[in-house]
Amino acid sequence: MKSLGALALSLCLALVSATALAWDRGEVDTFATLPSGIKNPEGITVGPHGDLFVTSFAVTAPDTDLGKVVVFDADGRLRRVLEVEGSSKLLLGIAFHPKTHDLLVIDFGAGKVLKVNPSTANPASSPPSAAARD
Amino acid sequence: MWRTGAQGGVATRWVDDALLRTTGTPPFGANGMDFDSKGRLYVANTGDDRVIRIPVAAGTAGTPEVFVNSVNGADGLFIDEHDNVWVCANQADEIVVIDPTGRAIAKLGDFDGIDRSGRPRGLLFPASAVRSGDSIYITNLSLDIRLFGLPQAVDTQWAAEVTRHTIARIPARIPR
Repeated sequence: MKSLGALALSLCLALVSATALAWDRGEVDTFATLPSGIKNPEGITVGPHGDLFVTSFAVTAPDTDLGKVVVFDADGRLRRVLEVEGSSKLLLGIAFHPKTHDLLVIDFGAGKVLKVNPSTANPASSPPSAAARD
Repeated sequence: MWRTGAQGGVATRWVDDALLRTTGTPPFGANGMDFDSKGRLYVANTGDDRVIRIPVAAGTAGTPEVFVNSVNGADGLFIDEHDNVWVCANQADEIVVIDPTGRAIAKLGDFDGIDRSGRPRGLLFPASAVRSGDSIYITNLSLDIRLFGLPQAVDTQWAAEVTRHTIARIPARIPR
C-alpha cells in the first residue's frame, strides 16, 4: 500500500506540474487608450522612429466620417490623430513599405490601398493603387 | 490575393484559391499575412480558422495548402526570426504561437473583463499585432459583429459594452 500511495502521490505531483507548465499565458497590459470617440482599432505598425500607427475600423461612425489613423509614441502617449483625406471610415491593415518607406493603408470601405502622409494624412501625390477586398 | 508594384497602380490577381475564401464567421477569408525565412507566405483565413501557406517562386504563387487548422478567428499574424507564426485568434481572445512544424507552443493573453472606464482588460477580439523591441503590440478591435447582421459570438456582448478602445501589449517572448 505504501508503494501504491507513493505512486499515486507521484502521479498527482506530475499532473500538477504538467498543468502548471501548460499555457502560461503571460502578462497583458494596456499600452494605450484611443481618444474618446475613436473606436475599433484594427491595423497596427511601427514607424521609423518607434511610433505606433493604428487604424480605426469605425463601423458605428457616420458614413461621412473620414478614416482615422492614431499615432502614439513608444510610451503610449498620443502624438496625433490623422484623418485620411478621401478615405472611407473603414480602415484596416497599415504598414510602411520596406523599400519606399511609404505609409500604406488598406481602405476596406473603398476597396483601395492608400499611400498617405504619416504627418498630415493627406494623400500622397501619386495615385493610390486599386485593390480588391474579399 | 492581389499584387501591385512598389509604386502602386492597378492591382493584378496574384493567387485565387478556395482556401483563401470562406463561408464561415467572422466572414473574412484571406487576412493577415507574412513571409517566413524561406520566402513562403502564410495567410490567415479568419472565417475558416486556418493558416494557409503559399510557396513562392520568383514572385509567383504556388499552390496554397493548409498549414494549421483550428485557430479560432485567425486574423493578423507575423513570423519571428525562428519562423514561429504568431497569430491573433480574434474569437478566442488570445495570441497563438505556432512553430514551423505546425505545433502550438504558446497561447498568450486572455480576456479579463471590462474596467470601470469601459476599457477591455487583456485581449478582446485581437485583430493585428506588431513586434517592436521586446514587446508585441496588439489592437483590441472589440467588434460587435451584430452590426454586420451576423449572429453573436461568445464575446460579442462584451465587445458591445466597450466605450474606450485600447492597444494591448505583451512581452515578445515565449514562456518556458
